[in-house]
Amino acid sequence: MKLKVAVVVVLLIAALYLANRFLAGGNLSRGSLETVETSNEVRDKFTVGFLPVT
Amino acid sequence: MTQHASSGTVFQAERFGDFPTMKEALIARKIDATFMIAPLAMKLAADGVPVKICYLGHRDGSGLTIAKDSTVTDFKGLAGKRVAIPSRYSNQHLLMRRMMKQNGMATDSIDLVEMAPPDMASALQARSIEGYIVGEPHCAKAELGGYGKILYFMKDLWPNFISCVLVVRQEVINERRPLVQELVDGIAASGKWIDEDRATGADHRKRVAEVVGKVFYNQDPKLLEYVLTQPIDRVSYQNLEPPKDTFDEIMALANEMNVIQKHMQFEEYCDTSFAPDLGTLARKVENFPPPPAAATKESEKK
Repeated sequence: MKLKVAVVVVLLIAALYLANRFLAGGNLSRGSLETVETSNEVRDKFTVGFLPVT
Repeated sequence: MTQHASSGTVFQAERFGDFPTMKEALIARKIDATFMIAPLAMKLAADGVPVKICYLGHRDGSGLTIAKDSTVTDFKGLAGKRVAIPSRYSNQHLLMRRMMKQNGMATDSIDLVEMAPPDMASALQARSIEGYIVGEPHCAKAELGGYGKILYFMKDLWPNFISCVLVVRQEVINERRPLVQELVDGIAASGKWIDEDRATGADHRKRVAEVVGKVFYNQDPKLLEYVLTQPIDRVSYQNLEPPKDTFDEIMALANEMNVIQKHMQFEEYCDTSFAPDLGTLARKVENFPPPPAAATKESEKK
């Protein structure tokens, strides 16, 4: 019984971890934020913030 | 923003609507670097946030704008009036205080109110403020809208005015140094390229206005073309290495006005080691405008 509970807990944690990774991945969408990719050949990524004002 | 197909690095440009949100994203490590108003970056460093100013975004490019039918004709005429500033932690704020001091005015003689830059032009049109001081294109917006005029360009009040700077997280500097160098080289090369044809029609500036307006800023390219060409020195992209003497002055002003409480040495918040020698800079702007795929990707999301 204890083993079953332990397995369920481990699976639950793993599922939560994967769900978190999934939700945190991809393009950010926080209010007015937008993401623009500027190249097609991807070897490394670097995110730079800006405000549309000089 | 830069693009270097030769190195295969993708620099993702993430647009923010306000500086506080941007600041939080930087602290939370959601972004690697950002263009931010200089005193805010210095304030972050003073508060113990591990960041460094590595390069400038541009020079000048701000204006003190008043209503077209305003009776104000000089800086002293703003006494007793309400003027909007983008942030307490902006050089536009420090400049207003500096100007009041230079003109023998009490530092509270002009009513300075913080306002989000996109709201300033409409506030002027509604006459809820007498004027505003901010980076472009918000000054040009009031000019072209027919209800505003420039009282002063920053280049006339504080030559080589610094507004936004490139701020990079310290661990990014430590762990991804080649990428930071690539980014700074790209900014430097872009600045060099944009002014290559300045004396012969400024076609580069017009092309930048078209692409930046549509792809990055989501603003009318004609507005940006006006900003970049009327007059041609309204915004400058030269001399972008952080200058110690100017930053020392900004720090002194910020300390004096209690905008930043802790006095910091230049080296504590600036890292000039990435600033390239423009004479020997190998990096060149290529493939501009960007391939249609980049623009299409953005437009598809809207």
